[in-house]
Amino acid sequence: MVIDQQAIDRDVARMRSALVLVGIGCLVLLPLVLNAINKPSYLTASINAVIFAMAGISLVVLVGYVGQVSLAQFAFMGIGALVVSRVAPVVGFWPALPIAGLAAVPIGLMAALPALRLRGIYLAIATLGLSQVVEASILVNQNIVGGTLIHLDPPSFLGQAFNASIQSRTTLYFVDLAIVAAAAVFTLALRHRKTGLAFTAVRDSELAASSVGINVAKYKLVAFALSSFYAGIAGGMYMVLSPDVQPRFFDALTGSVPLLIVLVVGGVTSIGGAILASFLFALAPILLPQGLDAALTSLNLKQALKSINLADLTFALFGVLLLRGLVTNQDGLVGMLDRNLRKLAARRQTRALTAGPGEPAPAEG
Amino acid sequence: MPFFAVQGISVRFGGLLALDDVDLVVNHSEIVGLIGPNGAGKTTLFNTVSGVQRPTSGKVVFDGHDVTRAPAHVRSRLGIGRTFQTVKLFPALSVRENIMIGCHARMKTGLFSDGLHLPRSHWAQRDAKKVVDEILEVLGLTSIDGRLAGELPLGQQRLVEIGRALATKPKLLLLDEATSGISKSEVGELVGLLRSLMDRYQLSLLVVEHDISLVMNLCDYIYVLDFGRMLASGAPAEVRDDPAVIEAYLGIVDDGANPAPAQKPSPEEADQAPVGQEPSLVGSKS
Repeated sequence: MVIDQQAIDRDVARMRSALVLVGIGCLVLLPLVLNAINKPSYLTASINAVIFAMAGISLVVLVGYVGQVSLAQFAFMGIGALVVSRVAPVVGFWPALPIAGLAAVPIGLMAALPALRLRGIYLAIATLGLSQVVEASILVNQNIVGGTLIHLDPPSFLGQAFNASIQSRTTLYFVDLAIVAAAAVFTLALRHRKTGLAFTAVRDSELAASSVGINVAKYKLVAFALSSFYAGIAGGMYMVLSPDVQPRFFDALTGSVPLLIVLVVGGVTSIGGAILASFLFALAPILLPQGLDAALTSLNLKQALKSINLADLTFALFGVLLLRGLVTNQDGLVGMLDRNLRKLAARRQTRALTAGPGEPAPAEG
Repeated sequence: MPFFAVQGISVRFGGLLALDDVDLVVNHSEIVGLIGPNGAGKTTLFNTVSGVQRPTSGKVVFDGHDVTRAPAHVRSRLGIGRTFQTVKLFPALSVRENIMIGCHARMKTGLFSDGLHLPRSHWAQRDAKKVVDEILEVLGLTSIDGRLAGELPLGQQRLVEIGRALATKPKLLLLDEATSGISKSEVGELVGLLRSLMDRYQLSLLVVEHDISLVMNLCDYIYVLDFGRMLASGAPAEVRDDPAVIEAYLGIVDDGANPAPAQKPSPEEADQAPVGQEPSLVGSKS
């Protein structure tokens, strides 16, 4: 019996594209389903998830593609949010959004400077420091922000201002989803071209990368620029959902650190992983079964656990997943899924082969 | 002016003088070997040549340029290619993509053209593909071009690494222990391959090797490093008979820090000795 590795690869690729299509289908159908079952709060959580996914993609570029860690993503978002809040009244929201992305790029390049010398934990600490500096000197500076809150008057889309109505929220969900899709497509398009190959080379071995003429410093700067651009856009997107934002929302410890954890759980090298994990993170607190509540009551633990809210519990859950993930599979949920697909494909082939030569393989699902 | 020359290079790590006033010349279309016992400074010299290590003093000249202060990626673009002692491929990329990365500096595209798949990106990809196809063909890797580099056996990984270096269109190729860890028969094939590559691409080679019989066979000229100093240099036959060289290699036996075979192997044994182990100079002389 000969195992045909290429056939397995083809089968895995087929199943993978099927899963991606299913995922996209779910993303598109989600608000319609939520509206049908009349759960507007889930819809808001879903928009949060989409924005979080945008921030996630910004981090995938850095961590997954170029191997640079950053705890400054939420600071980039804060700059984006601030710029939208200040520029949108002048030029309008939609032109202000790319400006917000561009405005975050200089900060991103500042974060890249330590990356030229430091790696791993030292780089994480350096970017954390930068994040704190940005927050303390810009985001909480009332002269710059124009108040204690970052504010944006609801922008309009196709003549209708965004508000908290279900219809408006649904529109916002799809607009945000389209922005994330554009970022995802652009980023994925890089992968097997010159830029993406150079990113991977820098991630795997800076020494080998420079030996083939890749300017390692340049590609780190490019990655940080792209990453901060995405994060700045994510910050601008957040202002539409939430017209008044506390500057503290963009703090590294409550923003960038959880983002990194969520990303590692989902799979740092994968955009699909970033989107998947973002939705789990945003929706789990409200999707955790009501049964949990009942179970706690019946176990008489309700009183003891009263002070714990579901959001904290979700985060604890992600902490456990993170530990498990780091020990057993470093490529996160998506990596786990991928390995299972491979096993499945191998099993299917074995079955097809043992079914007897000459017989057609079972139909592909 | 020589094609490639290292002139009076010294490298000091704190109190340790790793290289002491070393000179080395590679002429056009020449294969030059660099040998020496472990810790002699071969790797330091190699790193100085490839731009990873800045020398404390001295000069590196290549093809009319003073490249002493040029970083590694600039040297690569000028035409110095290299391989690594421990293979440094990009394991998650295919064989084809690994070699295509060698075309990096000549691909005229950037972030926007790549992300939007503009024509520039396609043209760059298409031009690179021609180069890669030819290299795959020459190295006999065409049939495995889609495999992930990390999944290949070491012998093939070394070939891919040579292919990646070739894709940078080097004029001088630096091979760092290209035979370590591969089988004797593969070494034979590699020697033949290197010779044909030199003709085809007008290469000069600088080879750092443990396998002395290979160096004696392959090289036009040999430099022997010992304790950071150039102990001897000359044609293979001269170096082989140089008493100082024999002394340096046999001297290792007394050096507790570096256990060498206590017994002098017979020629037959030396031939069968696994590559990567250091056969004695005298043993390989038959």
